[in-house]
Amino acid sequence: MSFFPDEVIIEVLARLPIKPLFKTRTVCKLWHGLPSDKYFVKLYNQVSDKNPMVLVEVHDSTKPNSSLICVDNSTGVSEFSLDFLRDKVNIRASCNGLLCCSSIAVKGVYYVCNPMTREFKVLPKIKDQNLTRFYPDSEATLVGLACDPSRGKFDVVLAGYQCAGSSRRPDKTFACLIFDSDSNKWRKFVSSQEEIFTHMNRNQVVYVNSALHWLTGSGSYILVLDLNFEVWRKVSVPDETRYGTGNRVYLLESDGCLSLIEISDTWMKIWVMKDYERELWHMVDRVSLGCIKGLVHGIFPIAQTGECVFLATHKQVLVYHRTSWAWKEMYSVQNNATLPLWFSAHAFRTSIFPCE
Amino acid sequence: MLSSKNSALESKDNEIFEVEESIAIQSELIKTMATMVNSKAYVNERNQMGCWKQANYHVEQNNKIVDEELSDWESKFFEVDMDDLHELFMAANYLEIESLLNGVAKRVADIIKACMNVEVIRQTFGINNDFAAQQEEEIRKLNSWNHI
Repeated sequence: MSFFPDEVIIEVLARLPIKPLFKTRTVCKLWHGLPSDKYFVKLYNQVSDKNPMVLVEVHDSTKPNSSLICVDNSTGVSEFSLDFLRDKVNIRASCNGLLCCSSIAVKGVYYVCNPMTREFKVLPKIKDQNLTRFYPDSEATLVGLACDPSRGKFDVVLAGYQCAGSSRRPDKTFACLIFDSDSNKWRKFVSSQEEIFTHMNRNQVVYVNSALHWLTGSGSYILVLDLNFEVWRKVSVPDETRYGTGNRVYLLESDGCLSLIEISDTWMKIWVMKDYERELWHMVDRVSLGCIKGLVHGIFPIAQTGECVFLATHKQVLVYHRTSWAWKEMYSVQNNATLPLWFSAHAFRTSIFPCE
Repeated sequence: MLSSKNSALESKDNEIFEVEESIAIQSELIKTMATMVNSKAYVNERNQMGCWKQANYHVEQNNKIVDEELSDWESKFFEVDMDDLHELFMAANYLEIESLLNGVAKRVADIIKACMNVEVIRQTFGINNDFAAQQEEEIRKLNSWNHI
């Protein structure tokens, strides 16, 4: 008979990072079966929801290749690799434990992978070349990953302006290509948009309430793709952030809700949309940036929960604990980074979500 | 007689001790039992003390313990041997004290993480290997990226 009863073992194993968890699968049959057990997976995801992480690509000028690191409160900094994809990729979106990556060498090739379990899926190439005539750069402007663990499926969204026919100029149609993991097929619909998106807008896509959200370049509203009804909508931002304040605003998730983080020279305000249906924003915190005065102009929020906020600068990853008002440096690049860390930083959480 | 805000708890070995009510109701079980007459919770004394020490600390901190950082106090609290951890776990499970459950689970998870091999894990937790040798080999191969 085992020393600890099974229900206790399950609580323990739900708190192991994925690599040691999989290592323990050879202990006995019960432990082996857990990662495929629905109840255990739900518990595991509940525990990891409380442990926000930041994935960063570190471009170190002294090394030939960039490296990937993961920063979180319980394990600190660890390296991870996407070499199991056997392709050089850019991480385009992160959602509920999965990543969507695009191939650098071959345009139009996308992967969805779980970087912790090393499972991955190559998305089928879009056969009709006309569907992929994005403008500019022949690449989709917006890439979104909608990973729904409760339904065991994910969608990948590629959206952007398209060129008409053989012309290289945009014709203002905004095409949206959606890949559905259940049907394993792409489908397309078009609309018209007039928006532009900054680099951070594109990196910070949020999936809540069955919809993908992007903050627009003007900062005046949030563009929403409702995946149930396949329509684009707008969600307003708090009035206080909208009107020419000159403050920087970023879209993040906070415990399953939309959140906006507003940064001025001296403070950081955290807004959360607790009532999605009525689009009501609440300012839940106003953080003084006095402790990090020198870093304020180059700091970007990347991931958060109700307990803490992870931010990245050119060379560091910091965490701010909201209950203890404490700032902590979690990671710092040793040598000169050729690209700032915030440029390729994504919010992440581990999960045992399979994607094959 | 009891001061108005204290609950009297009797342990399995018949020791009675008073615990302030706000601390006692950290235990979901006690909270429920408080509404019942003549109820008794069966936990041995040593672990009752341990549980209430930990519950007391939590109430003092107004439950502001941030999940991802076991404070120094808690780290020291959980640096006990497996027997004690087992007892704490059983007590926390029975009394339904979530913060304690979380703390012990994390500590045991850290012990497993630090374990270098599967056989040691089995011995530490008293688990029988119910795999056939071939099955075990197959699983190990599948997980070979883990460098077992």
